[in-house]
Amino acid sequence: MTKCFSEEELDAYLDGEDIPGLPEHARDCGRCGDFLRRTMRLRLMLGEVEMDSPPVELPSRVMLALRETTLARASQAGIALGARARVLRAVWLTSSAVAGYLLSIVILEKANATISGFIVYTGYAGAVVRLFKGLSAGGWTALWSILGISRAALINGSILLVLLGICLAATGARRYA
Amino acid sequence: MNDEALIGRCLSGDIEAFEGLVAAYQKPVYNLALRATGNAEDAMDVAQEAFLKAFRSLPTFRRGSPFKPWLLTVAANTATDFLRRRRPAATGEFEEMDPPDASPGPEEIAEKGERSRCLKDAIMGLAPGYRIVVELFHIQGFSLGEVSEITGLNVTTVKNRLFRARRMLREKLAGRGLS
Repeated sequence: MTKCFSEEELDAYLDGEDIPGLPEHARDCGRCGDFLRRTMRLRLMLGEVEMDSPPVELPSRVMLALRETTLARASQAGIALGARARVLRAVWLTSSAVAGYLLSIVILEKANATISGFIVYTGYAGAVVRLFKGLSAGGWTALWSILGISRAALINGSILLVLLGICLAATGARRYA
Repeated sequence: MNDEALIGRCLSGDIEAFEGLVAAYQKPVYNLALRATGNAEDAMDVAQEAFLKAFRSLPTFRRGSPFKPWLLTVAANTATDFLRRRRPAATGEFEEMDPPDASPGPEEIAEKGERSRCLKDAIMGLAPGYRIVVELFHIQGFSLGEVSEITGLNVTTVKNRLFRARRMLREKLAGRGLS
């Protein structure tokens, strides 16, 4: 008879490993055969062990804990969102005010240039008119008055644009809040 | 509703859908926790924590792969963390514990139910590292590869642990007249 196999080899054989000569040896060897029988019996018995039933309250406990943690996380996320909204509102207001200010400067500059150009043009035109048609000084006063009113209207319009910017900023801030 | 649909609903924010997964897998998760911790109270806590961790980790779950081994991997990790917290000074998973109950008499173990109880007691007498592989391989029926995946041990280590666990069980059962 061949030499006995180790317990590791016999156990591995039961795991499905191919160990040459083992089945033939175990048929004739009392020690190896006995080990295989006992181990197989143990494996069968272990396979028959039923799992314990979990406590009935396990699913409800899990779901309760899950809802609580989810709620807590949502609340924390809400606080974070509120802080973010406040920052966004501040950024929105500041950038709108700056934009409005810059816009008003541009418009006023443009208005000044236009008015100056117009004055120069009308000055020339007036000179031409005065030269060729002999208009009185009263006519010039009237023209300057009209130009002054237009300039004031443009400046007021710019201020209105700035106010409109602030209103838009406020609306945007309310939307974020 | 199948696992895939329930997982999809959970990922879209429906936390109530998770109850279906808890109901379906509470038994294997609880039994793994029970085998790891050695008592029902701790097993309940570990099982609950495992399900909560699994829910939080659902976005990392590879869709289309089997859910049960993944869930049990989360449960095994949770149980390992629990054991580490509970016994920081212990020698580790290989430490062997005494069986919780006294050996039953020969007439008791004649019946199958009693034999099962006797076996469970013997398993509980092993160290947690052995108990877990026995639970997963012999009782829950996972393959060696799956046990390796769930526990994070390589297949050779799983085989060695199973071999040693069975040897210890044989000795324990022989002492009770059940071998």
